[in-house]
This record gives sequence, C-alpha cells and structure tokens, in this order.
Amino acid sequence: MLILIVEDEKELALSIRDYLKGIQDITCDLAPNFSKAVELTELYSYDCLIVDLGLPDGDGLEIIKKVKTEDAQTGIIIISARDTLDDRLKGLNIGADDYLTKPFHLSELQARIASVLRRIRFDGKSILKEGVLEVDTVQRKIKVNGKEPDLTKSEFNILEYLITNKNKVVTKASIAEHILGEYSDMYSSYDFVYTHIKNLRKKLVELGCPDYIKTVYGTGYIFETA
Amino acid sequence: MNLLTKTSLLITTVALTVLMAGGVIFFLSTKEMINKQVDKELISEMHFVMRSFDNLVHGRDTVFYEELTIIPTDEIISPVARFRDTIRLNVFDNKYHTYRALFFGFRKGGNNYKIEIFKSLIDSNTLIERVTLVWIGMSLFLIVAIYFLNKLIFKSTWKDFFEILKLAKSYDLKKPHKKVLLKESEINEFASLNTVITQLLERVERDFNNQKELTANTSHELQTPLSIIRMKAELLLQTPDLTSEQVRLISDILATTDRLSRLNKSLLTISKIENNQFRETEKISLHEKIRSLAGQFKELIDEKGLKISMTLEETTIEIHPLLADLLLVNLLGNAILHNPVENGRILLELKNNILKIANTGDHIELDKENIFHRYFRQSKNPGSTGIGLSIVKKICEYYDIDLDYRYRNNLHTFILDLSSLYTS
Repeated sequence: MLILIVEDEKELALSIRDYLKGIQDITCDLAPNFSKAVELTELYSYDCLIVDLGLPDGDGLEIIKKVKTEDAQTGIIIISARDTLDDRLKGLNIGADDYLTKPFHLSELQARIASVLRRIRFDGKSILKEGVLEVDTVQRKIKVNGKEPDLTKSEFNILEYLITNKNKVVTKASIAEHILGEYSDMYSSYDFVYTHIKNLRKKLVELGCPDYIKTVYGTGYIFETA
Repeated sequence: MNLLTKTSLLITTVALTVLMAGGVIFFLSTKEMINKQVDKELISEMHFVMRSFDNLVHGRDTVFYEELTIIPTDEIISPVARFRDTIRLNVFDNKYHTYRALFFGFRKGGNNYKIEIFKSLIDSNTLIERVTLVWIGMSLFLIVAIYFLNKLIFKSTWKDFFEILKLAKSYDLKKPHKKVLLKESEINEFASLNTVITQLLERVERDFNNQKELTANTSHELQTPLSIIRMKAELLLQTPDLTSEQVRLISDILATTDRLSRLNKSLLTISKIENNQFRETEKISLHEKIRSLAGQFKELIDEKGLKISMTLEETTIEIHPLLADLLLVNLLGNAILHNPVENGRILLELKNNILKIANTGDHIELDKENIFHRYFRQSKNPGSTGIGLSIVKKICEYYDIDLDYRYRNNLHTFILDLSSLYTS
C-alpha cells in the first residue's frame, strides 16, 4: 500500500513514516512541500494521502482538490493544527475523508488510515480477521469461533482500535481519546479504559479466543499476534 | 465637587469680594465728595457771614439760628475755619440729624466771637443711602448674571471635554469592536487632549494586541514541537524489549506532554476569544446540548459513581457553537473532576435562562476572587490545568453573561445568567 505524507515539518513526517512502517505492507513517500507533493501525485497513484494544510509554498487543500479529481479512489486524511469547525468542514467538503487535529496520537492516525482505506476500497475487507476472531467493522460486531459475544460500544471501539494497531503499544491516553473524542481532556484517570479492557478480554477468552491483549507495564495495551 | 460648582463658587466668591470692596470704596469716596462739597459751601457761607456780620448780629449779643450760632467768648479762637461733624435737633421735625459744622473765631469791635455754621446732611445721607441700595442691587444682579453666564460659557466651552470624557469612559479594551471615535475640537487644549488620548489608546491597544499576538503565536508555534515530542515518545514506546522502568519513563513523558498540549490548546482558545475569532452565532437548544454532553461524559460519571440529576427547561440561545461547547465542557468537566469518589452528586438546572451547575466536592468554599484567574488551582488535582474556569470566564465576558459562584450545603454552584443570549 502506497501512502504519501505531505508535511513540511520533517520530524513529524519521519515519525509518521516510522510508525506506519511496522504495519503490514505500507510504503511511505514524503513530500516536504507543495511542489514536491504535486510532482509525486502526478508520478504515482497513492492509496492514501496524509496532508498538512499549512505548507510553505501552497495550500494543502489544492493538492486534495487535484488528487480527488484525478483519482477519487485515493483516501485523504488532513492533519492540521487548525481546529475550527469551519476548517474541518472546508477540508471535508473538498473531498478529504478525515480530519485529524494536531497534536494526535500515531495510533489514532493509523486507525484513521485503516478506516479510510476500508471505506474507499470496499472490497470485502471490512472484516478484520485474526485467527478465530472476526471483527466486522461495518456491522460493528465480532465473531469468535462463529459465536457472537455482546460487546458494548466502547468495548468494540477499543478492540477495533487495538487490532488496527496490532503489535504496537497503544497508550491508555490514546484509547481514551479514541473512544471519548476531544473531551478526554477532562479525564484525570484512565481507569475506565482498564475496566473496559478487563471486560473485553474476559468476553473473548470465554469463547476460546487467545488472549491477544496484553498490558504493557500499566502504560498501555498491545494486541499481540506475534 | 464638579468642575461647574467649583468654578461657579470661585467666580461668585471673587465677584462678591470685589463688589464688596468696591462698594466700601465707593461709599467712602462718595461721602468724602459730598463732605468736600458741603465744606466748600460752608466756607462760602463763612465769608458771607463775615461780610454781613453786623446785619446778622444786629446789635444782639448772641445769634442762635438753626444753621448759624454766633457766641461771644473770652477765649481767643483761631480765625481759621475748622470742621466737625455733629448732631443737632432740627426744629422743623424735632428730630436729631447729622450736621456738618464749620467754626472759627471772629473779632469785631474788641469782642471775640465764636461763629459756627451748620449744614444739615440729611439730603446727602439720603443720597448715600440710595446710592448704596442701588449698588447692592446692582451687585446682586451682577452676581446672579455672572453665575448664569459662567454656566452658559462653561457649557459651551467644556462641551467637547465632556464628550471626550464620555467616550473615554465607554472605552473597553476587551471589546475592540466598540472603538472610541473622538470628535475634533476647535479648542486647542481639548484638541490636544484628544490627540493625547487617541495616542494613548492606540498605544494601549497596540501593546494589548502585541501581548495577544505573542500568546497566540507562542501557543501556535508550540504545537509542532509538542507534536514531535509526543510522536517520538510514542515511537520509543514501540521499541522491543523495553524494561518496565523505561516504559514508565516514556509514559511520564507522554503524560506531561499531553498536559502541556492541553494547556497550550486552552491558551490558544483564550487568545482566539480575545482576538474576536468567534463572531458568528447559531441558535442552539441548550437543554439538548447539556443532555448530549452529559451523555458523552457518562463513562466518567459512571466510573466515579456520581449521581447526576437534571432539571432542564427548553432554552434556545444564540452563541458560537464551539464556545457553547467549551463553556459547558469546562463547567461540567470541573463538576466531575472535583467531585469526591463517594456519594458525589451533580445537579444541573436550567430555568428562566439561568443555568446552575452544582457539584459536591471539598468542604471548603473556593476563593471567589481567584478561581477565574489563569493557573489558579485550589485543588491539587493532577488532571486540572487551572485554566478551565478562566476560559469559562472569558466566554462569559465575551457574551456579557453574568457568572457567579456560590457555596452552600456542601454544594459548589456556578450560576450563569444567559439572558443576554436569549432568543425567542
């Protein structure tokens, strides 16, 4: 899968690339400015573009317009420091699939990319499989050995989040933000994440699913398949 | 004491003093003038008396008229005329009157006489009385006239000044959309006052804007490095075979970075409010908003085992949607955050455009003076950045919402009067 990161801040772009590198078959190109981004999008057909709006030599929105007219199948995620509703709507109206406000967790970006790609290339890949575990991201249901345990909304969201970031340590803060949105700021402790994960693991293991979810020294969790 | 009273008082006092002093001088000089006239007449009469002495005496020893006495005397009296004031009985009306008298010694046929000529001052006294009365009347009239004239002049000359004062009073730095427009004045002093005030305001505004820009720019510029730190820490966390100590350290870095990000975001929001970047408004049904927000906070409310009760009247207000969110999130968030874990309660009441958010908490009344200040934290709660309430305050100031805090029956209550946002 080919991803282009359009971001003028080198360290940010590199971090994103490093994080995504460990996942499946992702290859990342970097474009530090507008002209490079234009050049690369003309040369290659990307599956997904991660675009920062404030570029030194142009507006990221222009790249999105251009790419969307040429290949509507390209998934586009805006990453921007601008967080007003207006900016969001502008970006989404122009054809972006998602809008992520800086600063964001890398695991959140990965989840958004996975989700955008699933939405764009709707080719039966809406079901994430891991051994006996099947996660239906459209129906928002899971199956273990053919059985369907009842998961709460939060439990499902956490599971989906962990699976899209499998074999990566995902922090409690990022899980909290993922399921609560922007108001997770208000939370002083992430104990509820622990509660949800405890229940989730119990439900999975009861149906004979291997205990994929591991605690990482009280800091976060990892969905470990290796 | 205001300017008009002060000047009126001063002018009237000065006028009164001048008029009084003038009156005394006038009175004295009139009297002096009259006396001189009388004396002149007396002297001419003295010559007449001397000329026609024989006719007047007419062989008598003593002559005693109303206005002339000739008395023989043994003393030798100087023939030089001398004057004196005296009182005499007037034979006509049988009353005592003031007289001016001239006396001199006269020698005739070996006899010495003391001759005294009198002149009634009754007419001149009447004159002086009249003159004085006229003077007093004129003075009173003059003072009244001066008073009103002063008022009139005051009003017309100081008009510009009061206009400047009024405009300067209505100036509010926090509301840049209410600019002060000073009028031109044709009076030089006020024109320069105008200039000075305008320059002063410009400087204040410039400084204020610089300050705001500094905050805004700083927070904006801080976002990227913060993002980088956070991402690098996240990447570091992915390193295989980390020890628990290493994970703990990385996690501390992440938590601190998150806190810094939150703080930074809040600062940015405050400067955006200050920079008037939330001008648009929308009609928002507040009761629904509160309900949905309470739903979003359900995880935490449940986790803390808090009991939440809502009495919400249907209320529609006009407000920027993001600011409405921020206002409610911060207030509700605080109510949850600063609530004890056992038997905690949250009460939300919306009635007659008054929103009350009450929560149980520490059994200490918060410091009303300081809770709305940036970075003021009464509790040591690690989740609080100490900036939430100052955002609330900023939004309230921006919309003229009356914000009050009360502590009663172990309930910390924030009361917002939203009448200014009410829309039918």
